[in-house]
Amino acid sequence: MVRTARVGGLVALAGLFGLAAAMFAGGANPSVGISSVFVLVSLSLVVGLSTAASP
Amino acid sequence: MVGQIGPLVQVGRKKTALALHVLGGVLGGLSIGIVLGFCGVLLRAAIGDTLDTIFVVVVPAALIYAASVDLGLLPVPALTWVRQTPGDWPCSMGHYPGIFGWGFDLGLGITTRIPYQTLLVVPLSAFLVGDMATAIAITTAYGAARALAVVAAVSSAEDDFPAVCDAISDRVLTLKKLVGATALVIAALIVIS
Repeated sequence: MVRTARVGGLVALAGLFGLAAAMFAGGANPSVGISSVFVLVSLSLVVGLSTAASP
Repeated sequence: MVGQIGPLVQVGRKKTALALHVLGGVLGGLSIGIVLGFCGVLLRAAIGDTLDTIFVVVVPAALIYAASVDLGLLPVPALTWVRQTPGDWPCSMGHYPGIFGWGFDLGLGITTRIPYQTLLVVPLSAFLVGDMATAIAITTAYGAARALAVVAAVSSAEDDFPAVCDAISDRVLTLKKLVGATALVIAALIVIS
């Protein structure tokens, strides 16, 4: 239970970080659109969180 | 990485070591984002708004290609290289600098083995977006997420790092398919947005 909560907390932290990063980039009015920025940051989060085992 | 960093954080202050690893990951992502963002800004200055059209065509196409490889639908050799984060850094650079260096190296994303083809689309999109802030957001999110994944794995290991490595290895194929499926969804979202 503690282990799950800890991992969940860290994943949530990564999500918050990604959200902050996307908002930071979105504030700069990118020409590709804010929605594209959000989906690309989401992709980065998913790929990043999936690579813990990789050297 | 979990198998390497896990036993090391048992020596000295665990939270400091893991925080340095995350800091390294964030700074690695930030650094590659600045480089790619700068190159993208130069490209935008050269070709103007045509870059947006290139982005909308090339990034979804790259995502579909990467997803096809990751999902096992396209039987082509994966683009990758053999370099791995040097295991001797904590010895040669010192304990904490070495752990920081591992985070930085992994946060760069493209200097070590490429576990998923979708990973290659992260720097590609950061470059083609042609905007410094967006490029930094994309790559820093990657660097931070990768480092936090290592921290999550180490924190949940309860000193049994080989068991965690085995558990992760058992899920690699599932994770690969998850990443591939996400890439397909992201490609669709970029096209329709």
